[in-house]
Amino acid sequence: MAAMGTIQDLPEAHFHILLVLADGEKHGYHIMQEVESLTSGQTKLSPGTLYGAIHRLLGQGYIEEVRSSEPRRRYYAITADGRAAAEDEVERLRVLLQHARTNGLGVKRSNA
Amino acid sequence: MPQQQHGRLIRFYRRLTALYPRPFRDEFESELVEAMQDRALDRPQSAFRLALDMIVDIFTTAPKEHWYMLQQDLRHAFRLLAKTPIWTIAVISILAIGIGSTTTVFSLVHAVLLRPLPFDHPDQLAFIDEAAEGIDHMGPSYPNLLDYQQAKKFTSIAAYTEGGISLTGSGEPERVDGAWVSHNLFETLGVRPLLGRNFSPEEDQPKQESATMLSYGLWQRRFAGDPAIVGRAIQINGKARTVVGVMPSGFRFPETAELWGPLAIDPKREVRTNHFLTVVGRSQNGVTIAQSRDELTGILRGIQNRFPNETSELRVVVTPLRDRLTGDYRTALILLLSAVALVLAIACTNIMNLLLARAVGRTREVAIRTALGANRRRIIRQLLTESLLLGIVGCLLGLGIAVVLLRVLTTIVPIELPYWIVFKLDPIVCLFALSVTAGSVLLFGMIPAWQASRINPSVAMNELRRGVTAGQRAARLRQVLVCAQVALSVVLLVAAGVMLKSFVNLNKSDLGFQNRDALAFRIALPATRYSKGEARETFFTRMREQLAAVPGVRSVATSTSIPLGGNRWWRTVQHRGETRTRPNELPLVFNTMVSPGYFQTLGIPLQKGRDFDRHDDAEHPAIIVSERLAKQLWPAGDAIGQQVRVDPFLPEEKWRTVVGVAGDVHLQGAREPAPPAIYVPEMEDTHLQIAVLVSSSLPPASLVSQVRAQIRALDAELPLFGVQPLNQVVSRASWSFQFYTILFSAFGAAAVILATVGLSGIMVQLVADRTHEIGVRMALGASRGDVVRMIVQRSTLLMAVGTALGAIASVATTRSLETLLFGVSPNDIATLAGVLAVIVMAALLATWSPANRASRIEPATALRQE
Repeated sequence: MAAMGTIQDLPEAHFHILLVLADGEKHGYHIMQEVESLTSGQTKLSPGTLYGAIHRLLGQGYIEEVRSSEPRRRYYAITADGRAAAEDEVERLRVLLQHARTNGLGVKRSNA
Repeated sequence: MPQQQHGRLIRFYRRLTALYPRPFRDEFESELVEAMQDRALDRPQSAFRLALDMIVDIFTTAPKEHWYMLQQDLRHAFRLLAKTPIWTIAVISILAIGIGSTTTVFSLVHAVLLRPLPFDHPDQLAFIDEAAEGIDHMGPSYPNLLDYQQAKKFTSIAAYTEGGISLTGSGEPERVDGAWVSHNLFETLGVRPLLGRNFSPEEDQPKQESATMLSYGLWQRRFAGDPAIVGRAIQINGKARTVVGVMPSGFRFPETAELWGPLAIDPKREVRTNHFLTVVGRSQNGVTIAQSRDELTGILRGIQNRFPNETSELRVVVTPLRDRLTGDYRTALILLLSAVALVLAIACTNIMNLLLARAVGRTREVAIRTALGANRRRIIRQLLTESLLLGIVGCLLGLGIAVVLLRVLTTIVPIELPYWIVFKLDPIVCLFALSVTAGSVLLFGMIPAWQASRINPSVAMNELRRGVTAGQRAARLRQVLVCAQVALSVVLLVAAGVMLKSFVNLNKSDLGFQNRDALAFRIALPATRYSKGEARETFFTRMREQLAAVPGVRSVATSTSIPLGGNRWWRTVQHRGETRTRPNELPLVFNTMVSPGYFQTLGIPLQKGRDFDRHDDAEHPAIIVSERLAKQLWPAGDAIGQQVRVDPFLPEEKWRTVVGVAGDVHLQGAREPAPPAIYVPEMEDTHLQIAVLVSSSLPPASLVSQVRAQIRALDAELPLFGVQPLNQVVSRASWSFQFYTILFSAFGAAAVILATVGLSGIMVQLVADRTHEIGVRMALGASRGDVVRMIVQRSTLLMAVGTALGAIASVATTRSLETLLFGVSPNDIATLAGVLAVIVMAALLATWSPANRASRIEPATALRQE
């Protein structure tokens, strides 16, 4: 887990990407698709936003490029640091969720 | 969507990706295109929607990438600059000085020449004057004004005269600048009263001395912002008047007046030769100056047909408001702007030098990076970012310097400036500072960046190994720049030198009166209590006696004006034997009414004859003429005993006998020749307002308090104003010279300091570059003296070339200073020699330490430097 002191603001798009990469390496368009399905179509990453985020995440060391079976496409995987950052964010959200429930805010069920 | 169209859109998108920063594009272009392609295939949509999506995507994300890259570059640049704090501070300081001084001068120029006047459509406003031979402009007479007001091309024409006004009653008696205005003046200017109303035409009638208007500042200051001020009665010049209006905050017209009363002229008493009004007109929309002047000229012609004697020599002059109010300063301000631009140029070349030296010093880093694949454009971009960061900090610091300088300059200016002239940083001035910064950054940033990017890695690495710094071309460029700096410094120093000399000349020049320590002040008697001439004469006689009795006082005199006091009372004079009597044919002379003792108090020599005494009254009219006038009227013989008439066309003027000839006095300042002048005994027509002159051996402070005490004893309600020793009057009259001289000297000093620093830097670099070579020479037998000589020769060469260029340039440019000079030619040899001496000293200073260090080089150590 990353040190609690380093609270780096994790933008939503970055978090979604880390989330999606948590269960395995993927290439760009695949990430786009999964984020869209993850958020039930609410977040549609445009190519510009996606690769801007990937650029940042690469710079921060949260993801890395990996050699892939397909030579044409570049695959990205989450790093240990990235995993830690994502877990921090999850924890933050969990705390929020807990507070929400305590204050009587229920969780809406979406139409699956 | 058909395949062909799809393909075209994808190619369109690929081209759009050019908007991304190069590195980003290099890394992700193919993936972006592929992702876009995949998405388009999965989600069919119309071509239009797809194109729209593409455009929106690029235009929202590309700026973010650029911004991100800029942030990284700035952070990197900051870290790099922080590693060499002295160098960084030097560059920022130089830049700040350059930008700060340039912005300061621009702010002056903007305030005086460019900022629009605070009136409605100020370009429609103009002064209407009449001119005659020898007089550029004087106000029209009242009857002429009435005729001009019929002009169709003007929406309105108004008039005013200025004068001091005494306020008594609530509080200390006070003297303020005021003006007597026609009732339509403020309407013509387009300024509405804050409270109350303008004067009505009924109030603008003779003998109707009932109304007054206040400025906002006066209302706050003296009447505590009384909300019931409108309708309240106040004491003006000893009489009660009702306040009918208060003008808005900050408004004072003309220039400094705070209190206004109606002009209230009696047309029956006015003649067409009395030019005392200042006339302002607002022309109709779209009318040019020429057109309005033509119409007024036509009206004047009609007047000239009816009154040829008084008006035949006149012509109409129409001057836009701004030109007349500040036109005098235009030349000087532009010269100042040019001078400060030179300072900025020197600062930029200095910074360029420093950056070049640093770029060369980083050759190793750049070579490695280039070898590792960094592309040139990225390197240039990063180097420019460093310059940008330096520029931003330098600009902010420069603005701070400008704020301080402006405040200092505002306090230096001794006169009260017209209210709309405020030296401050407004948006336009800040914009100017930003533009100057941007221009400077581009100028000094581009060249080193470009230089550095052209480094060939293998060549650079080789050269590094041998201890020779790469960039011979850079070194040569730096030397050229230093020459340029020296040249520019010479130009500035010569300009500063001649101005300084001018200023000293001005101060030393003989104005015709010796006693500059005499104290001068003005007194204004209220018309209510001193309506009779006798009462006034009695008061002033007693006052003179009382003041003369004060121990330490040598003599006292009164007069209608003092030299350099700004007075302009011209009259015509006719001597016996002169047959012409028309005003336009007679010589114009400067007129002063004086009490006995005037010449003694001021220290004006009486070349012939005597001063006035008690016998020179209305029955025995006397006159004293100046030396120049005496020579002019009676070139062959003696002026004493001759007779003259003043303004002979006025019925009551009698023949006067010349009883004395006084030395010429430069009544209008050292730069104007002494005008022909006449002096008339004051007691013939004692004015309400006069100047008092006291010559004493007392220190000024105690003299002033004694004077005040004596006057108060005579009449407690009389304000004294304009209290100052004559030498202060003299220096105030030439305050602008002092101002320019200070600024030019400051620029000259800044220039020479910067140039010295620049030369020193070059010399240090030279020694460092050639350490190996020096070691070799010394090992081969060269003495320390030889080494020092080598260094000194190089620096002398640079200085000599720079000075020669500068001297040539200054011959060409200082000609433009001619109007600001006094008693000095622009190409004064002595000044040039002085500048040369300064440059030589600066060169010695710059070269001494590097030469010293060079002579101390141990050959063994130097040779080991591989």
